[in-house]
Amino acid sequence: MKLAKYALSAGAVIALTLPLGAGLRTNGAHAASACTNRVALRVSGWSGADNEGDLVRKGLDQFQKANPCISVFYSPVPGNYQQKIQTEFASSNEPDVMYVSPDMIYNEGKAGKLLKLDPYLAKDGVKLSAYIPTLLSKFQLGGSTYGLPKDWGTLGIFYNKGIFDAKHIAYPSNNLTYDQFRALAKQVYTPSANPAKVVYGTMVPSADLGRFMTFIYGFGSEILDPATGKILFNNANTIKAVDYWTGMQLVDHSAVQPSAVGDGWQGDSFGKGKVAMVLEGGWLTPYLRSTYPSTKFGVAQIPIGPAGRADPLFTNAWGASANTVKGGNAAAAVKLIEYMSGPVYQKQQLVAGFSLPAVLSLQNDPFLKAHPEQANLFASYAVGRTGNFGSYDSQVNKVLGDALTSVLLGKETAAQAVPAAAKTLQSQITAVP
Amino acid sequence: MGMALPTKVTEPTGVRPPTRKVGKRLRHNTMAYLFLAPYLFILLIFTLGAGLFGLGLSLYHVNYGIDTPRFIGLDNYRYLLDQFQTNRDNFEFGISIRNIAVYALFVIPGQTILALSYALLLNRDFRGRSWLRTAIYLPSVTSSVAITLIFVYLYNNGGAVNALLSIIHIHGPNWLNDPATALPAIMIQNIYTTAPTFMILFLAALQGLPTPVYEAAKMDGAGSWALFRHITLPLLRPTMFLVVAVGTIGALQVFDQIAIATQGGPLNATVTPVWTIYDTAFKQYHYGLGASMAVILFVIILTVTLIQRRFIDSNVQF
Repeated sequence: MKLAKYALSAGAVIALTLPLGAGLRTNGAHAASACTNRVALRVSGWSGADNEGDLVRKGLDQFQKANPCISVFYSPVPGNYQQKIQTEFASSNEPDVMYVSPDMIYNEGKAGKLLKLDPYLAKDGVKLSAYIPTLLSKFQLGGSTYGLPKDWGTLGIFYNKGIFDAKHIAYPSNNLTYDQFRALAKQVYTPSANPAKVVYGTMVPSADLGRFMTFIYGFGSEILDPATGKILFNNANTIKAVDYWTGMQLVDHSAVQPSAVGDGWQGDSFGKGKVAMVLEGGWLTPYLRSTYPSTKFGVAQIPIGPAGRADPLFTNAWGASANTVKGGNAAAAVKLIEYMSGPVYQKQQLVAGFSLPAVLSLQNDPFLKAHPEQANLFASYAVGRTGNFGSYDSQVNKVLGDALTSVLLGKETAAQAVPAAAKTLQSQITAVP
Repeated sequence: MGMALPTKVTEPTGVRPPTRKVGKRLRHNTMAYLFLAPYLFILLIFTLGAGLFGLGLSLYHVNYGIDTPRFIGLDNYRYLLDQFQTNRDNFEFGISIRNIAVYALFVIPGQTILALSYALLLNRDFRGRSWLRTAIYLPSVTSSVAITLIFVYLYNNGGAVNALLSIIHIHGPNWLNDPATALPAIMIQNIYTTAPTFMILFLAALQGLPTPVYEAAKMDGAGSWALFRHITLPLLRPTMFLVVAVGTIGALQVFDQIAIATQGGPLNATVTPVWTIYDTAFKQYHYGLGASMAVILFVIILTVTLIQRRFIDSNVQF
C-alpha cells in the first residue's frame, strides 16, 4: 500500500515536471529519433519575454525544424547578462551559442574563451563580405572572427510632425549640420508660463554616453582605444562636444532632460508631445506605434558634425564558446550562428521593426523602400561609428556620463569636466593592480 | 557490543560518573546541532566560507573566466589607501564611505525613533489598533524592489510628492536626479520601510516590561514623561541595542534601493560601499579589488558595532 502511494506520488511529480522540461526545449525536436548523431546546444541571450525574445525563439524553432538532429535549448538571461555569462565562463558552464557584445571580444575573445568562427564559416561557404564591414570588424580581433553581427541600430532625429506643422516649420532634413539642428531646436521650442504646456526643441539625457558619443566623434575626437586602454577624449574637441550638447539646455533653454518633465525616458516625452525632436533609435518606432498611436512622426538622419558624419552604430553578434570544440558540437553551433545571423532571420527582425539588418544583401529589400523611416536609419551604416571600449566599457560610460551631468547641473564647466573625467578614468584603468 | 552501565548507581548521592555526564551532554548537544544543521550548513558555506574566500580573494588580481588569478599580496589595499590619499574627491569607494556615514547618521536615529514611536502608539489600547498595526507593518513585508519602484514614481518630478508640495506653493526638487536631494530621498524611504520591523521588537519589549516598577513609580508621583524617560527607556536598552546594531549593519550595507532608484548617481551622490563593491567586481571585473573593499566594509561594521556595544550597555536586569 505504502509502495503504491510512493509510486503514485513519484508518478505525479514526473507528470508535473515533464511539461516544465519540455518548455525549456524549443519545438521541433520530434524528428530527432532518426538521428545517428544527435547534438544539443544551449543558447543564451539577454532577450527574455519581450519582442526580441519572441523573435529569437521563433528563429531557433525554424532552425531546429530545418536541422532535426540539433536540439536547441534557449535559456535567456534578461538582467545582468554579462555578469552571469562571465561566472558561467569561469565555471566552464557557459552556453554553447550566445549573444556576444563588442566588448566581450576584448574579454572572453582575447582570453580564447570564444570560438574562432573562420574555419567553420569557410567550410560552410559563408562569406564575411556579406556583412556590413564596420559591424563585422567589432567582432574581429587579431585576424580572427568571434561573432557574426546579428543586427544593428543607430540614432535618428525623430520629429513630431504635428508640432512642426502647427508652427509651420519645415521638417528636419537628412543633411542638418550641428548648428542647424541647434537652431531648429530653438525655433521649435515653445515656452509657456504653464510648465505642462511647454514644448521643448529636443532632449539631452544626462549620464547617457550612448547618445552623446556621436557628438564626440562628430567634433573629431576619439574616446578610448579598447586594446590598450589609452584615453583619447581629453582634448578641445570633446570640450566643444560637451559645450554643444549641454548648451542646448543651459544656454538656449530649448532642451531638457526627460526626468525634468516627469518621464523616465525621452521616448515617452516625445510620444506625449512634450518635445519636438529626440535622438532615438529604431526601437522607438514600434514603441510609438503601440503606446502613442496618435503621434505622427518622421525620422531623419542625425546631424552632421564639423568632422563629418558620425552616426552611432549599436551592434551585437551571435558567437560560440570555444569549449564547443571539446564537446564536439562546434560545427552545429556555427551552423546555428550562421542561421541566426543570416539573411532569412535578419529579414524577420527588420519586418518586425525591431532592428536593422547587418547583411548587405538586405539593403535593397522592398521593406526598406516601403518604410522610409527605417530606410533613413539604415543609410547610416556607410557613415556610422561604433563605440567599443572593451573591458573598460563600464568605466568609460560612467565617467563621461558623470561629466555631462556635472556640466548640466552647473557644477563644472566643460573645460573642467573633461580633464577631470580623464583623470578619474586613468586612475581606474592604469592604477588598479 | 559495549558493556551496559548498571541501572542502580553505587556512587555517593549527588555525584555522577563523569563519563555519563559527558555522554548525556554529548547526546543533548548532538540533538541541538542536528536541529541547527541546516542553518549551520548555510552559515558555514555562504557566510563564513564566503567571507574567508573573500578575504583570500582580496589578495589576488582576479578576472573570473578571463585571466588566471594572480597573487598580488596587499596591492589592492595599497591601491585603496593611495586613492584615499591622492584622489579623494573622485574616488568612488571613498565617496561611498562618506555617503554611508551621513546615511547612517540620519537613518539609524530616524528609524529607531520612528519605530519606538510606532510601538508606543500601538502599545495603547484604542479602536482601530489592529488596522493601524497592519497598515504600519505593511512596508516591512513588501518587497524592497516594489517599494523602491513606488518611491521612484512618488519622487518623480511630476509625482505625488511634488504635487503635495505644490499645494503649499513649494516647487519641489527633482528628488532622485539632484545630488543635493537624492541621498535624503533614499534615507526617507529607508526609514519608512525599516521602522515597522523594529517596531515589532520594541512592541514585544514594551509588553514584557514589569508593571510593578511602573506602579511603584506612579505611587511616587511620576508623570507620563518621567515614566518614559526614567523607566521605559532604560528598560528598553537591550532592545535598543539590538535595534541600533541591526539598523547600523543594514544601513551600512544598503544596496537594493540604490541599485533600483539611482545606480549611485547623480554624480556619486548615492554611491554606497556595497554598490561600489558590486560595481567594481561585476561591472569593472576587478573581483580582487571588490573583495578588498568588502573586507574594509566588514572591519568598519565590526568596529561600529563594538563601539555601539560599549555605549549601549545591554546588560540590564529586571
